[in-house]
Amino acid sequence: MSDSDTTSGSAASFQVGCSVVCDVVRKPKRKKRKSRSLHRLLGMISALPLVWVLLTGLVLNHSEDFGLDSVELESPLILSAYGMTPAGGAESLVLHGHSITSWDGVVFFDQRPLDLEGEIITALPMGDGMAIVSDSTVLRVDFEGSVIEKLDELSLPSIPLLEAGIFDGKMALRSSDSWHVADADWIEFSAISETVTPIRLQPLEDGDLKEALRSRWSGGGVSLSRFVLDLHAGNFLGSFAAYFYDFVVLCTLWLIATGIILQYRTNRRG
Amino acid sequence: MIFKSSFITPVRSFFGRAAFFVLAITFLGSFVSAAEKVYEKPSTFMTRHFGAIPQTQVITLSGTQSKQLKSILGHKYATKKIRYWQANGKAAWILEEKGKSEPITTGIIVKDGKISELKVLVYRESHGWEVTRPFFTKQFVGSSLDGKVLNKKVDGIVGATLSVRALKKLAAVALYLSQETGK
Repeated sequence: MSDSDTTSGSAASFQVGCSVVCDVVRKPKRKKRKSRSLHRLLGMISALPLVWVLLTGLVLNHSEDFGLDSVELESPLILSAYGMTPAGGAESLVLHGHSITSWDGVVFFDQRPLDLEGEIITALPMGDGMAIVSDSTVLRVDFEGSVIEKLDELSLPSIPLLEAGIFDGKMALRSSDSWHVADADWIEFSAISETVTPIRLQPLEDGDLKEALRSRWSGGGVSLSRFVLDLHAGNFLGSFAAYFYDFVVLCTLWLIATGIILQYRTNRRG
Repeated sequence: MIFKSSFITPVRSFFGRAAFFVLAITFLGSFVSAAEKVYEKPSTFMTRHFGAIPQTQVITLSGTQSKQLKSILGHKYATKKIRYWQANGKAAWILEEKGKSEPITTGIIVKDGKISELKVLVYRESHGWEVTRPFFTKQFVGSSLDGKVLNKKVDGIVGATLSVRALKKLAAVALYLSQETGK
């Protein structure tokens, strides 16, 4: 076969002697497909959230083994982010060496929460302990903070209570009509015409007590398992989380589909 | 700055939502579940039975009585003194016991060592409100104390197990305290 035979066939789908340096037979240019680059791009996009979900899922799968439920996160940053810190200012009163504090709906005896119905008004020092007064209830507590008895609408002169103070060494409560003074056993109340100086809670200054109450206000921290679950579920993305995960799911499905197609083509070409 | 705000907003949103569930389900859950419903004011309950509210009386729990209440309730009673009202041979007790997480305020009338009425006055739990219904509370009428439990069987309610248990305990407490104050 001569050179002319090989070069003369211009209709052939390949040509010879494209270069003076080398004599290479080139296949015709094929249309460049985008499947592989798209596959790579989707792989990169999906990788981070998938790794995130897989790792957090792995941890959650063994939450009991890792004891995640027993670990509570009490970092101020996390508690604040979960909305588990009290709002507004704390008000407090020190009686018999114990502090009675009210902060955003929770009443504390020292650092222990007390079950008190209604809005706290004040606390009064009494001979055998103290009276913690809300607008609908009076709690009689001893020096250890144990509840001796609870006075509600059946035992109070009338509710709502508005103010409280000490009159002649006895508990005095003001309702809408007048001041009422309790007897020694807090059984009977008698109305008085005198005005009693009300005792009020005072703003609590910043300090160790305030910091301690801040972390106790919620009743505990956030369990680590709950925190990891929120990370896993993407709750940190808010309402956007569902759409983001939809996107990741679609990317992953597309990734699988393009992977199968690319593998099929590769096999077909040998 | 744009990056910062767009990042922080969803983070806050997440923690806000998470906080809602944590607060609602776990501890603090009390805010959501505390849908207090007053079925009858204690003063109305008392007036209905006595015409007017009788003189308030107080029992200060002795060591033995506290132990007995503990064995009935499974824990110490919330207060050291308990108020009650007595007239016309009847004693009225307004007692509280937690169902699941909130106290159930219950009015109990005891006459001749037997319960003549038990009524849930204030119910605060989010579930188990069926115990407030007369078809359930009527079961207590005529019950007396057999040791530290009621002598009559009280049928439970599916989904209100803890509230049913709490009311049974309160009924036993009222009967026991009536025995003690009647001595």
